[in-house]
Amino acid sequence: MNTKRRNDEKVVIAFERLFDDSLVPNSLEEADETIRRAGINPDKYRNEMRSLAAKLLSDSPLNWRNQSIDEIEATRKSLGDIKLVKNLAVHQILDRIAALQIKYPQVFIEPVLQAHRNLEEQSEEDLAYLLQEMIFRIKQAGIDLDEDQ
Amino acid sequence: MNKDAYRFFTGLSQDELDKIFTELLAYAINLIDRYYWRYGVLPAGIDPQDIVQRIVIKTLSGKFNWDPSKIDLYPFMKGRIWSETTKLFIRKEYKHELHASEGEDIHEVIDRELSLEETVERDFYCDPAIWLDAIENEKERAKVIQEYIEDLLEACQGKPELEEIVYAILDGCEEKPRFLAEWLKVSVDEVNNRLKRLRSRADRIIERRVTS
Repeated sequence: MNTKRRNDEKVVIAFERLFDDSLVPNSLEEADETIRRAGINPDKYRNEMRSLAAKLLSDSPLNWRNQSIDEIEATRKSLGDIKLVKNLAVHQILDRIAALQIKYPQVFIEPVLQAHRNLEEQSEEDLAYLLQEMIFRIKQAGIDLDEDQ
Repeated sequence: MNKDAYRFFTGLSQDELDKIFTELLAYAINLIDRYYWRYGVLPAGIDPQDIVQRIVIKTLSGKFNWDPSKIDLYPFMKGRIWSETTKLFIRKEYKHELHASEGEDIHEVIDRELSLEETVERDFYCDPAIWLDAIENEKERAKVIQEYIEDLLEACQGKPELEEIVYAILDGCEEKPRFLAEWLKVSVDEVNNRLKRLRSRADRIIERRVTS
């Protein structure tokens, strides 16, 4: 055992750091309990934060929809370069969209993408474009897609 | 807009986002609860949800210069919550109350006030223990430290498992749960639970002292 005792000030500093870490909940259940105890509905709060994040990401100048004409042209070209969705049947496109939606739900949070909510009613061309756009957005976020996606 | 933060958020699943937002809010609530007795109340109209929202907005907007090569986003945002919350408390206690004029948003007032302070005291609020530096008077500082140690010893009195934590730190164990776990030969979860109990008991002692 280390016998070099700390001076009182260092003890205070050590405990302040330890106590600050102990303010972080150990689990989601513990976090929810803390939130409820404060009189806040955790589900309502999460919904509000999802909306806030969706709006911030949607309004971001980094979002390709908010870029200049030149940047949009470059984006269109990049979208066209994504060959993955060609020659797919409708059910295959829908399967891929569903798989991406589960794995990367953030790509769906943009209001524009929400316009495609009724996927069953979309034309094959629209579905292919939507899938292309989702793949592009994921790649733009710096994520490497799995081979099967 | 912070490009790294944008990429990070865009790449998260909904569950991962929910987890981060929920943990940050629980942390903010616990933090406010903890600092309440030391510093008093937050400015009127501010609640923990406001604080988390402001941190998310500032992180994504690039107002906070998050550098992913230096720190992960979650601890960065947690640190900013700590910084902003304690500033709000400390300003109220030691300086002046923040008031919004008619038609003015309290959040605009806070942004203005905090950013003014940030330019001169940016590095001041980055460590949970650094509030000690704010006590310039040596005698007062010594008194605060002595009271803190007394509160700690009182908090663990009659609880050997909590005493072990206090004496491990007094004896020089590094202040990380994993080192405490090694030192005491218990699990990290056990250390975390003991720390929560010790903090809670010590905070109640502070509360009693402040309100008596």
